[in-house]
Amino acid sequence: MSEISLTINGKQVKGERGDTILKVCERSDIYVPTLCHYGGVHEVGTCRMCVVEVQGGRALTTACTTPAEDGMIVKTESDAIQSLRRATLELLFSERNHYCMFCEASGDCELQALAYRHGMDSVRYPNLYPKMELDTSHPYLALDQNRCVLCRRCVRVCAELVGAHSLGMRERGIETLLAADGGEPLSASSCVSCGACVQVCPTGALFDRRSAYRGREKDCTTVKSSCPECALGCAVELVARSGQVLRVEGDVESPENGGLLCRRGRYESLNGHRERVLQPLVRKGGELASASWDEALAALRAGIEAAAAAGGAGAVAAVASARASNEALAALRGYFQQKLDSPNVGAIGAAASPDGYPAATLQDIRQADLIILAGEDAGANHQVVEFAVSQAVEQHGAALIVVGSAARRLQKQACVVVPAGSDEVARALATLTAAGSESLKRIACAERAVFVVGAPVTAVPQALAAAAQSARDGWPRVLALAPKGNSRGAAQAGLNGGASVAKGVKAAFIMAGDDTEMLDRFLPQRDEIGFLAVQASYRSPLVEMADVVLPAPVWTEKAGTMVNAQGREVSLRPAVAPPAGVRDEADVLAALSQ
Amino acid sequence: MAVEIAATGSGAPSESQVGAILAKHPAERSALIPILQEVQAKLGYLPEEAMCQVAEALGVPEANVYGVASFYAQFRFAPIGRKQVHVCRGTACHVGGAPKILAEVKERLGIGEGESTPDREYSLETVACIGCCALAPCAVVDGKVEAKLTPKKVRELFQGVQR
Ligand code: SF4
Ligand code: SF4
Ligand code: SF4
Ligand code: FES
Repeated sequence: MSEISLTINGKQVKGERGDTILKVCERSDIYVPTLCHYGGVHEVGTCRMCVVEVQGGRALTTACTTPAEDGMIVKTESDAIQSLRRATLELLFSERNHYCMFCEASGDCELQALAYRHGMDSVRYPNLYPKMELDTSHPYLALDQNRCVLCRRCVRVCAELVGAHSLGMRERGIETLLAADGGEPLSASSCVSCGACVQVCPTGALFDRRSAYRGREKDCTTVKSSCPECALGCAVELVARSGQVLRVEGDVESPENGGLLCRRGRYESLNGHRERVLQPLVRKGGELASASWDEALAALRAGIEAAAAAGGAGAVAAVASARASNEALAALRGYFQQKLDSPNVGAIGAAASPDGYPAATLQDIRQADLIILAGEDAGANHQVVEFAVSQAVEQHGAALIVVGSAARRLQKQACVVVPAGSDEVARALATLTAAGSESLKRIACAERAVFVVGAPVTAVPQALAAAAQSARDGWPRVLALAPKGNSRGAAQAGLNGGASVAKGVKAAFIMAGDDTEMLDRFLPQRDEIGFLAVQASYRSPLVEMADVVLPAPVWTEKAGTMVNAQGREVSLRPAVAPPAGVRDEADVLAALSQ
Repeated sequence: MAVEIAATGSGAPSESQVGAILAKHPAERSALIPILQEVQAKLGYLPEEAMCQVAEALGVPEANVYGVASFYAQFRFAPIGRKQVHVCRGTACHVGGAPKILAEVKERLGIGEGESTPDREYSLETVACIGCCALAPCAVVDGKVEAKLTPKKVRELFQGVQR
């Protein structure tokens, strides 16, 4: 890449060929106001805020869309520029309803900030204030057209980063409106509820329903953590105020998910009305009753140790969710494996990484020239992977082969689809190497092949991987999806993913934490297990049947580490303190071992 | 594609007509406008299912098909009535009371601009100028110019219209 040099505001600055004027300014820390510009998606140049003066040019030009050229002389501030920017702002304000005091974004709004910065104290144009509807059909996000400045950030992010293409503009001129699909309410559209559009909207047009009007950024704390909802462990920022998590945002600084999250991570883990377990419970005279921590731990120890004394170590079992942190799993092993010598310690959802090939990152997927997606609706529970696959196909023309099933849009983007039921996927995957097949041709000429495999497939057949072996070192790469946030960490700790408690177990301890799915699967076994202790965040049918219940924090209240599907260690950090009677799982178990 | 994925048809009666139009064009984004024009020529308007079908066939997101269609004034999203009503909103008519005339027509027919009555008898549009400013305010109803309109005349004109 060759270097160019420009004169901006009388200063010599460097850029690279292919940069826009805005990019050069960013590189040299020269401020240019922008509104429609958003890093990572293509420029549209619609807002006109970034106008600058290029010497010799006919008129002011937009810095975000004008290519920088060697020797260019640019001014980013002048009276003419200032007055045009201000007029642009006044037009934006007069076009719809921007009475900031009633807006959810007020204080965090980019339009408002620009107006302050440009000293906009009045609007010279008639206020059009058209009557516009709110779309509140969607459970998690809302659209208020009154605040929309038609910057199209949402449209571009939804199309280019998410690949959903759910948003567009309808009508034209002053009538232009943001629309989902053919003008549907958001809830009835093809929107996949990832929330990316909300995160990038510069105004109060698209907003999060849960956190609306609950605090401006400066009133809130923001903590970087990792989403435990699946094994990708996407980087998140937890926005909290007054002891409550208001919303989960994607961490734009992450090179992996880069601000994107899926519906589960951004919304589902917070929105639900589940009743918390707020204090220890012990069964007394047939009824579960509140107890102190000391009482509950004594009852737990008594129940477990009595079973071990009567039936040996094999009569005791401990099962965790593979969503538990490494620290919690270590403490569980400390008591049950090391102290009590129980052979029955496992973690539901533990899954080892397949050997032999380097793990594919999401960046690898985005840059791949061939992606082979195999599994039962591979990606359905890992939407962020789907987004990366769409980007590779749509933006770099990567070839996609789908074995099994996948989201409809990926099926459409695929050049080869091999439908297969869940018991046939592994076999169907092996057939890709059939001599002379379309797939084999593509596999053989790929330079950067990525396999994304999900249940029931856990590994890539040797022959297939060998076929994809390219001249480039380190390819193919494999991303093996796994069901839980710490599936890899649990497997590395030597815990197996078995789903049931062994026969002959007389006392069991279940570390469920905030994994509600896992508890239900023990319901049919409840009667065979004599003594049952559960460590859980939420009330559930199994909790009601336990002898001892220990309250556990939820993920936004926890510190700890997990190992994600790519073998990378990711961290959980607490955004809020757990409720008063709740103690950290690892601390509680460590205390038992003493 | 090595394996055909069955298209999930909506089963709308216009599906095969739209299919026939699609077959005449390359499945490319650039064919979008000619296809929409032909669909409208055939069906009289652009039903939502037809736009979805076109989107699917061209591999263009539905939001974009709708965006393009709604950008051009020539496309309609509701079926046209047997009798078309064009209310003039040119300067002379405007000054002569066109807003009141339009409001009265809407009231009588029970529909807004770009809509048609449920029995498809009437559809309503506004136009920039009919070209007979001396007769302002005026409208064209079923091909006939109605001159020097008043709300009362409008009421008489549409007497007995079922809303
Ligand atoms: S979007 Fe921004 S400028 Fe508009 S009303 Fe809200 S705070 Fe004010
Ligand atoms: S939530 Fe995601 S899929 Fe839905 S419109 Fe916004 S960006 Fe598109
Ligand atoms: S909704 Fe927000 S992001 Fe989308 S065009 Fe309007 S202002 Fe821009
Ligand atoms: S940022 Fe350049 S036109 Fe909007």
